Amino acid sequence: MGNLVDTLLNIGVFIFIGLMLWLLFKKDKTKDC
Amino acid sequence: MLKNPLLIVAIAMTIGVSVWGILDTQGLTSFAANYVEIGFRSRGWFIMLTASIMLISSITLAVSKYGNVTLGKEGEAPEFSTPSWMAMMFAAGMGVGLLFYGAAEPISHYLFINRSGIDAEKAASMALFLTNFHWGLHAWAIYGLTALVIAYFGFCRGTPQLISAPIVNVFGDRPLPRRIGWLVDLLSIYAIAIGLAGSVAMGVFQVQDGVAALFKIDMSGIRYALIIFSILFAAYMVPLTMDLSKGMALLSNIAVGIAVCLMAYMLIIGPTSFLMNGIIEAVGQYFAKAIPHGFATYTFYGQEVKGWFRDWSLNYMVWWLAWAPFVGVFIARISRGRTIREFIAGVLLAPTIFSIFWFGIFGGMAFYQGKASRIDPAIVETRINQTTFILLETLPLSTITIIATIVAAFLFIVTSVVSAAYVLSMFSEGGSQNPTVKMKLIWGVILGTLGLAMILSNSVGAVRQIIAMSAGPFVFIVLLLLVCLIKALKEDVGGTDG
Repeated sequence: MGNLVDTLLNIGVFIFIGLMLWLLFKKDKTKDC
Repeated sequence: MLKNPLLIVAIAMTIGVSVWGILDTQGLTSFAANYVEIGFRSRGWFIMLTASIMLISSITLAVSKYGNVTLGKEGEAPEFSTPSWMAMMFAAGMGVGLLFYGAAEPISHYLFINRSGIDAEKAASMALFLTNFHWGLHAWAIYGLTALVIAYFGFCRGTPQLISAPIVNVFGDRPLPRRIGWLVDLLSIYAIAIGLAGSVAMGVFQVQDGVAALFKIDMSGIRYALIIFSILFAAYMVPLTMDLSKGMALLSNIAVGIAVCLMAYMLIIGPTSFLMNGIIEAVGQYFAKAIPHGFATYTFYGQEVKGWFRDWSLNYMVWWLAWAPFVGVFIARISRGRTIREFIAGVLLAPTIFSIFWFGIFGGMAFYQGKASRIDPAIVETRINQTTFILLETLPLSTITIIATIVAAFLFIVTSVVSAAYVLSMFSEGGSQNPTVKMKLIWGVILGTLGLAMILSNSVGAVRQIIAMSAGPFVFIVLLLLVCLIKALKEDVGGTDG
């Protein structure tokens, strides 16, 4: 068993990485410039 | 000023930390140590991965079609000449740290490796590699990519020079991106203030030990540090009242010039071929192993090696992350008119090669003098602040070289504080290119108070942990900025041959 705090912090990191990948590859509807 | 909530919260946060540090130094130090320990233990892999992603993305961008994009108008010429562009970014990014760690860091690694049973020759070569790894491509990729994002959005999309600007620009001026942007600016201001104050404290320790070495007197103790700090405070407050963009460039050029002269002097007066052999070996080792080593996390090693990894490799990476907003904004400002390819090649390669020479000469010299029993390598454990001066004392003309080192350290700190107060004032006034004198003075005083708090901790280790604590969020922020840059490049350059 690992440390609970470590595991929770790591899950936070996984969610962040997922979010970044989603932001990177999602198709944008609007353009700003 | 009172109408700017960002500024009020940022000032409250930084003053809070300074007051805490002054009233309860031990409390702040142990809080920072615990916070950093948890962060490093749980997210060490992510910090190293982020540094590697920054490096690999930089190289990929440079060789891709996006490398041809000009940071500014199409065909615009660079604002500064290439040598002075390189000198300025080097002074901003490394500065006093190089003087401090030139000999101390290679010796520290050498002792650690040698004690774990590896023979002296191999330990020396590994020690130089590790030092170069900490100061090389990964550090400059973190700075460079942050700078590239700020420069691209500032010069190609006309956004203000704020860390939040790319986020709001790419994800739209809606409540959520705006709030995230606000938080990013707040954390940037806080990290810059803490990082700079740490650098001030380290510089003061260095000058204190330099003066002690020069006059052969005992200057240990907080009293002398406070005297030096007061002189320094007076020295940087005056330039803050003037518009000194040219003057600052001159001061950093003098500081870098002194550092280069010291390095050249040591190379010529010392065992030249021994040092050159060491440097060439270090170049080969570094470029052969740097990228794979970026993924090293030492997870299968014992506690001692893991502790070393946290204290050095992870600490350095978060240190560069803490400095990224400041150095990033600074490098962005001086890089207008360069293409992305030219920008990345310059930012990554020039400082890395300089660092390899610097550590090869200072570290190599320390190994050489250690072998000849002229210095005891164990000094780094008891008197790390004095290592550079102890090494200089073993060479001829030490009075001159020690004075030169003290002057360079002093100039590096003054230029860093003045430019940081400038950048912080820019952030506080919504990205304005010409912040008011009042705002610069306010930041000058706050940086001074924070520096004082760090000096009172009277320990380089404590200073490093307080900096590492402030850098925590940047491991996320730099990746978010990278995503913004890639999206913007795809949108602006698209599938055409930019």
